[in-house]
Amino acid sequence: MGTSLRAQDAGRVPVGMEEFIGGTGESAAQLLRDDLGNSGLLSVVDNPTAGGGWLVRASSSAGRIDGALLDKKGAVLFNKHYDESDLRDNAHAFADDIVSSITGVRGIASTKIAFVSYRTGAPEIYLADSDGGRIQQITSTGTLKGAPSLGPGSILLAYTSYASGFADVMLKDLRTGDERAVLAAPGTNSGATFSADGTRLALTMSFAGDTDIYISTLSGSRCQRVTNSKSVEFSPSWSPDGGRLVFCSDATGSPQLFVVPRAGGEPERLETGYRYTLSPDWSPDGVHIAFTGREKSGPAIMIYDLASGKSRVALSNAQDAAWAPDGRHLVAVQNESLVVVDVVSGQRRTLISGVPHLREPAWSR
Amino acid sequence: MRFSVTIPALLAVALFGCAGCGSLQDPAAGEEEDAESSLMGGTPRRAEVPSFTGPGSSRVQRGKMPGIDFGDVIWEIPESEKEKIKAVAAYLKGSAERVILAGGAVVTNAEYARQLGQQRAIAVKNALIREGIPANTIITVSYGLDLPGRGGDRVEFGFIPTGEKREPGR
Repeated sequence: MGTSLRAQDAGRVPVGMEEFIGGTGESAAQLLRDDLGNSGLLSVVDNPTAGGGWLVRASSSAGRIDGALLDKKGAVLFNKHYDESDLRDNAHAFADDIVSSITGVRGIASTKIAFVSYRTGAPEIYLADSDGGRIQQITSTGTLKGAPSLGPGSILLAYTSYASGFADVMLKDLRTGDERAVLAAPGTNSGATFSADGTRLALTMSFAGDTDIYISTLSGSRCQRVTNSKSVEFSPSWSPDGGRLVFCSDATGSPQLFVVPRAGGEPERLETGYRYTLSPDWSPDGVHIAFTGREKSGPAIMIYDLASGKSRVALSNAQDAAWAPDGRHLVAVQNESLVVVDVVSGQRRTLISGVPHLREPAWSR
Repeated sequence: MRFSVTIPALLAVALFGCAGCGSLQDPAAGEEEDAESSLMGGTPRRAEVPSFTGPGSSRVQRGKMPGIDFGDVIWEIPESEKEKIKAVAAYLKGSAERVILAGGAVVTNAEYARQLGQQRAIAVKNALIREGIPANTIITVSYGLDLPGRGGDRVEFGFIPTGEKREPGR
């Protein structure tokens, strides 16, 4: 790679990286290099003296990593032992610590992406690292399912399951595999998304007579109706402070975006400039809402700026976008692939391809 | 970072019990202390009923009467389909069977398809109620993009025989 910055590295902070020692040093270094690059904020240079002063030093054996970050004066900012059993977990945690220490921004290497695929012939929920690695099949019932949502820390997964023959919201503990149907009201219960603090779900239910947005406790034992109309209301997404929800409603004849206080009230339509809008996702910094807009050439991922009221294209010929917790990256479905786009630089990378019928990606917060 | 992971971990423990603690625990009791519980009403749970596909579906007779085609109409029942509703209502009045209304929709977004299919099933349910069919004999479900059978922008009927005859006047 050399010491000169490539065009796609413009604006990134260069970081020098010494050769990692130890039996798994080479693999750890490659994972770390990819993670730092995927942050969109840093770029690794091979010549340690050309790293703008930042230097990564590490050793790795048996998947464990001892890693340090040195600043421009050679002072050690941190020196940590990463002791998870899987090299990937350790490299991702090390990368996030480096990103956080240098930029103050939370890294995304340790985050997860859930999605639906018909890889086995039936729709199942899968989980992947944010770099597309380590794809795990989470469900295997062979029945219909969809609408996955990951809680903070990727500990809980909510998704819609038809195992009962009806659409119920399941909550699964990804550490133990335990799961239960937490919302199984009459009608269709679907589209559950976690609040930023992970204590509530917003979803669509229909037991009261129409498809409306509700907020529920995680146990599902109590719920609060947020909208009340004869139209179809769906795909709620929380504002980061938990005070509002953005959702879709076809009250105007086609699905449009609306915002409503979590306590309920009159929804306010967002003037996105598009007549057919789907899959809203409120950015973690609260500034933007990503959505799927229908353009002449097909669906596109749009970003609506709440301050200016203007929309711009983030990714063409794509749909179903979800924000990363850094508020900088979006994952979306494009041409049967999961694609990640950096909305600041416009750079994109294919996360997962060659897996049949990918849909409904969700990024952990 | 470490703190942000701790809270979800505690929530998970509250919901499922700690790893190795055995069976799932009902966390509802712990939520009684919730400051917002006054905003919350109880969430109903569906009664045990046969489903259109899945548990109990062998008891459900599908394809017995033609489904309702919505075409490119969102969820209002098209004028051309209203005679089908009347025919189903007439059948149900004489049979005492329960009916499952299974909705489907063909749109690009899976969640919109689920909810649009549900709203279509609700529209058919309301039409049957207007024809005199008791609401508690009608069950709705949506399969969205994956409506069994022909699929499409339709609501299909599944009949659940009860072995009884409906009493006159009901």
